Amino acid sequence: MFKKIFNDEAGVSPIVATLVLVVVAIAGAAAVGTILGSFSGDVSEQASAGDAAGSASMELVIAGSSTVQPVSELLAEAYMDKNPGVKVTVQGGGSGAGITGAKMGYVDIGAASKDVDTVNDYPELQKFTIGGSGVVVIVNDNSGGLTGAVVTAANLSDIYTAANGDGTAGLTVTGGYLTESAAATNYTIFDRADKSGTEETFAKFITGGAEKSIDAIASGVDGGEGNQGVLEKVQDTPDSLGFVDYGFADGASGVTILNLEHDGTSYDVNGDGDTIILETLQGTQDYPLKRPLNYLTNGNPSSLQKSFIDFALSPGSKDIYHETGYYAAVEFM
Amino acid sequence: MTDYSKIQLKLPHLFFFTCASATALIALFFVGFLVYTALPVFQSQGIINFITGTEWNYSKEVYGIGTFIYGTALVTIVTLFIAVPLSLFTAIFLAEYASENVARKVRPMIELLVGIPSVIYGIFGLYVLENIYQDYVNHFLSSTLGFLPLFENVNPNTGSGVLLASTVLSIMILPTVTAISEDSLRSVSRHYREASFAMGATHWETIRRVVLPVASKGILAAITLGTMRAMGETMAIVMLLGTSQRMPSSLLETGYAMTSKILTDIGFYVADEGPRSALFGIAVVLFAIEMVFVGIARSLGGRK
Repeated sequence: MFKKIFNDEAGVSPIVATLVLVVVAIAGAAAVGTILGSFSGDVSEQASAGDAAGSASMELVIAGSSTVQPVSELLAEAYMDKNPGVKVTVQGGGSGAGITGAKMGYVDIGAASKDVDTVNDYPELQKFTIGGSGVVVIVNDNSGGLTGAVVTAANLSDIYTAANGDGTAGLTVTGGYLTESAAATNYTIFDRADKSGTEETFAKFITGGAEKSIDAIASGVDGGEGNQGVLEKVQDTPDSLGFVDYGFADGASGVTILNLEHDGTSYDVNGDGDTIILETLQGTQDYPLKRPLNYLTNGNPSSLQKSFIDFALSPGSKDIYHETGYYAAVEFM
Repeated sequence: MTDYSKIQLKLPHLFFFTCASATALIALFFVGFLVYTALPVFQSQGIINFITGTEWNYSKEVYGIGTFIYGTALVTIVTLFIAVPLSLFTAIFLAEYASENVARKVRPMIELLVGIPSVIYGIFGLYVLENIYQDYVNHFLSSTLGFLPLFENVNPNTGSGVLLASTVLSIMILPTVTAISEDSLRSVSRHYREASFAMGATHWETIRRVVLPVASKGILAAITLGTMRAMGETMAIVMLLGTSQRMPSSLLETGYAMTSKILTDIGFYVADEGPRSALFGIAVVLFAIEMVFVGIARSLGGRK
């Protein structure tokens, strides 16, 4: 049989070949077991992120939310200037990747642009709210006629449901509200292509907390990758509607931020978004599409993790948040 | 010969054998890993429901990938409609008509297309072709062939959709199909050609009646390989086909492919067991389909 495998008289003897095969098989099986084991999270307790960062290598890996990524990058740059011995690496991947990464210990700090339940869902994680921001609805109002329109969660729910068929919905203004009407001008409706904290915040708002994803009510709408992707889609498509973080929408050309009404209160996010979102985070207003920006560590942070998070929370870092259109935690906590 | 030198003689053999086994094991490991992770979704949904279902809802934990299979299949078929004639005619030109000098200049140009990363194709499609399709191609198609539902311009404000994605994919698979087809056309024995010429057939008659039938197996293998590349493509498809979960009835409509669904959702849902398993389920189905094509390509590609 082995003669056949090697097809050669001077081949390896059957005994040696069998031995090699056994060794390779065992090594392979061990590798499969280890990797599958770590994938299902069994060994995550042993390899805590704290141990990794606490070791001699002064390296810090931050990964997760694409909303938090730009602010993490700026923070890392500033932090490394002050602490030349430390190397901070920032990666994206989405809020889900940030949570898993921190849980399984392959990133030192996970980032999530949504609220993370560290009491029930992820008891092994510690949460540090480093900043906050808000989501806004934007339109490219090429054919005009939506000027001054206000939207409510119910309006948005109607619009997204109507767009489920072919990705478009007829939009018109009725009594000051942006409403869906099949006879009106067709607008292309966008959501996020990748799953994100931004979409979760928005989906929870328009479904009254029932759904975490737009797909649940309107899987037929098209999406853009990341906040920037949605913004570009809306800018590039005459007559369209989408939602992005306020930091991306503020000052962007070709799009209009829609004002929002919720629980009888109207929010003039188009004119005064900065104040509304900041005061909402501070608790004096109640704009419904606010969300926190969180850093997550596995268990108690190591001294290096703590030092970076303290830096992120320090008043001196405030401008970094403003640069990316967010607010620092010191401003509202 | 001493025992020592005997072992020395065997060492290289042993080394290469270990490398080969490791490679084979990696393949097995991949299959095991995919199926292991995807198993829960097949158990909870049932394989038939998972493949034919059209609802995908994380909160209801209903996972059906019918829409994505449809999207991938439609894009692949349209891609073949565009790419196969073009690459076949190119291959015929290179193998039959072009002088060695011309062929030597044209061939590297086609092979150059292989080296371009797919994200570049995506960007080219999105920033160059998308506007052209939106403003001209889609208008033209819907005004001349719009009576067919296949060419209904559902959303005139965007150029993305099945046709745009397929156009870019065709450019991507063009070199693969052309190179392998040309190879099989060239490997047709000279005797067949000479026999055909001797009977008074023209060059074109010889190509059509003799060379193409003889080379047909190789050409089919080339098309199969191109099909596989088209189905597995991800980045450009996300950018050009769109991510709307519905079954497009028109070529100018957006859709959702299997690979796109995995790419867009895995980062966010990797932490949740159920959704992760469902996304890996898509990968398993795609893998199974590709395996069938590998089988076809191998059985066709085997020289008689």
